Amino acid sequence: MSSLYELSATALLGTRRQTLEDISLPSGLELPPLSPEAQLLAAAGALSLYEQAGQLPQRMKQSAPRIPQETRPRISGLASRYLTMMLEGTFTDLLGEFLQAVNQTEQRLAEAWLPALLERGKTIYVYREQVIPVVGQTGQYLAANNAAWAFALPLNWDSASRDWRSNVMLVRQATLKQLRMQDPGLGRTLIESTWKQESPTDRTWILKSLRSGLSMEDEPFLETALDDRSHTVRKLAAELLSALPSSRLCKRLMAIAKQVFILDEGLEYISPVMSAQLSRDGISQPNWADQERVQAAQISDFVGLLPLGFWPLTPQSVIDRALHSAWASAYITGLSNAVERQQHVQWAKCLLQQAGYTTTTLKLIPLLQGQDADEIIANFPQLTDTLPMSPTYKLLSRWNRPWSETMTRTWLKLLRHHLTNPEVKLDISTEVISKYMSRYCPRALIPEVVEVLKDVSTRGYEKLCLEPLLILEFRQNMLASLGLRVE
Amino acid sequence: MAFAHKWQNLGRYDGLIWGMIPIKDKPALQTRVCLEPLHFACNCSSYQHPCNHALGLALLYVDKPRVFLNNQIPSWAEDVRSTYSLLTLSESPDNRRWQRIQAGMQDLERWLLDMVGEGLEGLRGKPQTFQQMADRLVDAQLSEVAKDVRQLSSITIKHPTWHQDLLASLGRLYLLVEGFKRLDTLPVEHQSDLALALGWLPPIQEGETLHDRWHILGKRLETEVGRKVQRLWLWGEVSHRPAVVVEILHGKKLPGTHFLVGGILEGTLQFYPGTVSLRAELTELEQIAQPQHPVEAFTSIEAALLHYNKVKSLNPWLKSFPICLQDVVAEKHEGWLLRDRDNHLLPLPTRFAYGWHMQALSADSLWVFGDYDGKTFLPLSVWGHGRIIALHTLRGVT
Repeated sequence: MSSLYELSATALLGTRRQTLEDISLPSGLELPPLSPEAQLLAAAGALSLYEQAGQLPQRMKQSAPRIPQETRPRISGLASRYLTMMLEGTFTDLLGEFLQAVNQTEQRLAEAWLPALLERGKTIYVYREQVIPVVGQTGQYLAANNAAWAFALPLNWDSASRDWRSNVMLVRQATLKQLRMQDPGLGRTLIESTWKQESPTDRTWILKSLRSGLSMEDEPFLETALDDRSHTVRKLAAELLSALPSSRLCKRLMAIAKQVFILDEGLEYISPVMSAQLSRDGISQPNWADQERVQAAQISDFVGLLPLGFWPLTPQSVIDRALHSAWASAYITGLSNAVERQQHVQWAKCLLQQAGYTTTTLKLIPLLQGQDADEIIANFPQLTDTLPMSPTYKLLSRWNRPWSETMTRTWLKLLRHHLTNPEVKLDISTEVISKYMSRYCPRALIPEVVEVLKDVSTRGYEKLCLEPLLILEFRQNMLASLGLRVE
Repeated sequence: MAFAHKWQNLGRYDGLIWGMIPIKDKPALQTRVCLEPLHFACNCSSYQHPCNHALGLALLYVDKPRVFLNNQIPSWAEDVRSTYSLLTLSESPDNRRWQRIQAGMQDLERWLLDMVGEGLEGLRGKPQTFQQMADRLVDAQLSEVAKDVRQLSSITIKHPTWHQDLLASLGRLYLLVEGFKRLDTLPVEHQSDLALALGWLPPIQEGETLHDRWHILGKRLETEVGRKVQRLWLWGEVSHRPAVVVEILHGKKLPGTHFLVGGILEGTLQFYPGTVSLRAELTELEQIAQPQHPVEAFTSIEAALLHYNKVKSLNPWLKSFPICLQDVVAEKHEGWLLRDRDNHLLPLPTRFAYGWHMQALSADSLWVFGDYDGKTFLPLSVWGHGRIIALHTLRGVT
């Protein structure tokens, strides 16, 4: 019997070039006398239909792998519906809270939505930690079979080094980030394995990833990075080393700083003698005509790289002297950079309180904890006519993480104050803060917040309250679908 | 709307009238009316049917038939006539529409013979060859054949067996041409099968009606030959019969049938005639509660394929056939496939986007409904978390 393969060999060249051999069809099928082209086509059609109508399935010898039994119960269908809505773009910001609540109630996600969640975790790191505990055995099984979702499994050197050699930057970034979180030393070894072959752009983001899990073990590597060809890489290495007070860079800078920063009645700055070593350590000497500007840049660079422990006075005293010096702006910029790099909460609080909520210091708000914010709010008069300029306003308009009870109640109080004082002008941050409150207020306060917002809404602020009310309703129902009571 | 100056390209031919209404900065509206049997169609966004444009066109025709000057039916006006019986057309040999179909099939035959005469190797990387033929077939009112030809362009990619696959498809098309030549000698059911394969609907009144509880197991919205087509897959709870309802949508109109996958319709379906009655129209159906359990399905892939073989041997023109399977698991090897308890395999389409979802649901053995085209099985819905889940509602992962 002729086969489709044999016929296709003739068809490839064409019947005008290749003579058609005799065709034999399965018994019962016959071809009438036709041209070679028609014979070929009719035979191919008949054989194809003959095969299609008589096919049997292929069989696999190995038995099918089994997915391990789940230990946690699956979330309800209603909860899955809320998850679907968030994945489709409705109040996606609440996904983190949803995943946390699933974990808190010791449930797991429904199987049908695992691929979408794991796919999201592939590119959005923030969900990873929350996704991993709730994917269950099935999620881990899927992750073990899909390299892109390996973040849901504990990383090992083999899988990490394989992913590290990927050409896809996202995969590399995800691998490094996870390994640094899991085992910072192993993460650094991974970096060192390819460091010399990386482009300056890649070296920059790779170095940035060392912020997670940074320790003195990274110091020798960072010290060598101070000699990198790229200025950006050198600067970044110096910044990272400045967060390690025992590093050689910090010691070198502190030795010079003693002669440069004179703390007596005030805070004096004596320009250091510039050297190659000082430039290597990140103190810039810009080639500008304006010498005052050069000096200001040097001060902010120097102060920004100095360990905060260098200063022999309390944070309040140092900031006070800095504010009264001739170089106040440069000192505050430098101190803010140092505080941000060294993640020092006490210094952050003092800087915000003394230097004010300026564009330089606002970046320190993420360093604060809930209780710090409560403390700041308590120390400031809240009901003032210049509300949008108040620290409470500035703080809350940047607090896009869980709110404390104090923060929530303070904002509700301020909203009520608006109602009784029509001369108070609302600005865009009122809307932003109300949205943050509805997203992040404590679960127990949701009914109270809803009540206040409904009241505010009926007094001519429908537009302001509409979205926060929708968010609150969604949160309330979403949490209830997971069995968390919101009364 | 019943004034001639509002219209452009007014035409009539063989019981069909058509015209276009120009709209500033937008494509002109396309309105057509089939006079016998009366049927209105327009691509406007009106929810009223018939719309004011279609009524205006009909009234204008009654008032001033002489202004309908054109007699070349534009392709966009054709589908309203698709309910015409192909067989009725063939009975009047001087009919120009029938001549056009015949000419289209002759063109196809020449094209097929030329291709195998010249050799398939020359076709590699020339998708326009298929596109041009498909366009000519659309003009000849052979929409289904045009679809088949257009799909051929996807075969000539770097698949090792592309020449075999292409030859097999060309061969099947050639048999369709040969079948068409012998249309009047075929039994009535086979004539209906052939009509559907060409893109013509056989007279529905000759088909059977069937009362059942119809489970909605699949829905797809696709664009075919520049128009939107919604397919609805149903499964009879008692009769164990599948049915496919096809609805052609015009303009921005929403489907008339807005049923959700997973629901049940109770009532009667009117099937089109044929050796394997599959295509049907909704008649009096009422949506009732959600099912508590999935419909009965094949427990082995072998049994499902034997059933498919039987159906395929009855109607060789059938492109695909719906299948329900249970006790299977989804696995990824080179591509995705289903495996049953006997370790028999059924391949899923390449670049299938819901394999991971099905694998996740395979912890409990999987129930799946889909469409089998003789090579691959396209899953449309699965039973999971106590209900039917339409796969297209999940976010696909490739």
